[in-house]
This record gives sequence, C-alpha cells and structure tokens, in this order.
Amino acid sequence: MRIIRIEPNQGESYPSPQTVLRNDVPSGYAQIDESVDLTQFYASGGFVALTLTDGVVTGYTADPAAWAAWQAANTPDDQEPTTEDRMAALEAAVLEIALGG
Amino acid sequence: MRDIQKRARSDFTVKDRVVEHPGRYQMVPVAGTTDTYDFVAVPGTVTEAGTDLSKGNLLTDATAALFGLGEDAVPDDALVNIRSLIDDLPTIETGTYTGTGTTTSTAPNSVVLSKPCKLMFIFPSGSGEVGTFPVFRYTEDYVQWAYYSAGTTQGYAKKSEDGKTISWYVTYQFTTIDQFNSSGVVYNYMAFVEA
Repeated sequence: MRIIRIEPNQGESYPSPQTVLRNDVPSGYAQIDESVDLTQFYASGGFVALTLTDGVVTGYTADPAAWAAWQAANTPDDQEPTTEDRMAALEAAVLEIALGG
Repeated sequence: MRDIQKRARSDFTVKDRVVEHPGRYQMVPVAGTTDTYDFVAVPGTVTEAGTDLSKGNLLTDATAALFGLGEDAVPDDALVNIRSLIDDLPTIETGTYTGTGTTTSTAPNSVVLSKPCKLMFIFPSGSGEVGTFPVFRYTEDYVQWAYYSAGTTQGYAKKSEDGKTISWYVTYQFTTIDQFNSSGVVYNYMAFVEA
C-alpha cells in the first residue's frame, strides 16, 4: 500500500510517498489509489496539489513552476565544505553524544 | 544463558515409568473402618522406575535464577517471564520510498511507522548513491545526526511526539544524496520499533 502525508512540508512540497506492508493508514496520512501514476509527482519534486476522494488520493496536479522556483532558490553551493569543517562538525556531534546531549 | 542452562541440566534425563501392570491397584480396608479403602499399586515387575514428578525436576533452582526467580518459583512463573521478554523485544518494520530531489529544512523527508521508532536505517538502491546508514538520535526537535559515508554532521533529524514519524534533512550545501532523497531513487528503510 502507498501512503502520503496529507499536509505538505513548509516549502510546500510533499515528502515522498511510502510503500508499506501494513494495511492501516496512519493519522495524518492518506492512501494513494493504485491507479495513480506518480511519475509527474517525482518529476515535480513533490510540488503538487493532491486530489482526495473519501480520504484516498485519487490524483494530483503537478506544479512545475513551484518546483523550478524552489530549485532556483536552493541551488547548492559550488564549494564543498572542507575536510576540516566536516571533522569539526563530526567531533562536535560525537562530543554532544558523549555528554548525553 | 543457554550454556548455563545446559550445564545445569547436563546430568538430568527424564524417563517414563515402565511396569508390568500400570493400572492395577489393590483395595486395602483402612483399619477401624468398614467402608474406607486404600488403593495400593500392584505394578508387578518394575522395568524402569521412571523420573519423579517433583518441583526440582520441572524447574530447577538454577534455571529459575536465570529468570531472576527464587527457589519457590514454579514453571508457570518462568513461562510468564519468557512471554514478557518476548513482548518487550523490538520488532522490525520495513518499507520503501522514492526520492523527490529536495533538500533543506523546508523540504525534509519523513517516514511514518506503525509504532514508536527505536532506530532506523536507510539503504539507497541507486547505483550512484552512497551506501550508508544514518544513526538517528531522535528527539522531538531537530538535532544533528551523524552518518557514516560522508563523515558529515550537517544533517538534522527528529521524531514526532508519538515517536512514530521520523523526519530529516541536510543543510543547503549538501546534496540530495546526503538527504537520501535523490530524485527517482528508491530507498529501502528498516526500522526497529517498540514491541
């Protein structure tokens, strides 16, 4: 069974639908009808408007413009963080764990 | 535990009682009465005396101690203890999701489980993906988490109040690979959830 959270993320995209083995639908989630093709959902980065019928997702409308705008606003830095930066962050996290943070 | 128990019972065997007449009894009048009798077994030839049905043979003190039970424990106590241990064991829940290609705190990933999560692993299936396993230190607010592949801690994860939903993201300078959310890549997750 495929399920998806009913509310989108803060950035208006939906998190990925899950494929689960159980048959119950968690609170705040909706089952996705088997007939729904998710190709455009993924092609638009989850920027869609869901169509729900009796609590089941029966379709969606992709919003490629929102996806393009999000991509433009979230272009990764060209510069990778340095090894020193990564080591410092890792050491800080390990220390936090060691201190029970 | 198994080794200890094996040692404790290594010299113990259970044998059935084997007699010539297993169901034969003699009625012997009780002295001083006219209508009361004792049944006295008349087994005939006893081929094998058999193992006594005693407390020590049903649950040894050594085995009871393995369960934290005292010398007065009975097998039922041990069975209840075993059931309790089984009930407390975490169970494994699995599933998949397909990456959408987003990152950052405005587009976190999330996975909902049927029971509160203890620990979750994610395994990307994409050939270009990094085979990795995050170790989430779950709290109800986003906290940094560390994972193996990139040696970075610029990721954040949290769990919902009921413990069933895990959400995570990486900061903008990292990629969808780091967030386990590359577009079109199928991710398998395996979670240890409370019993």
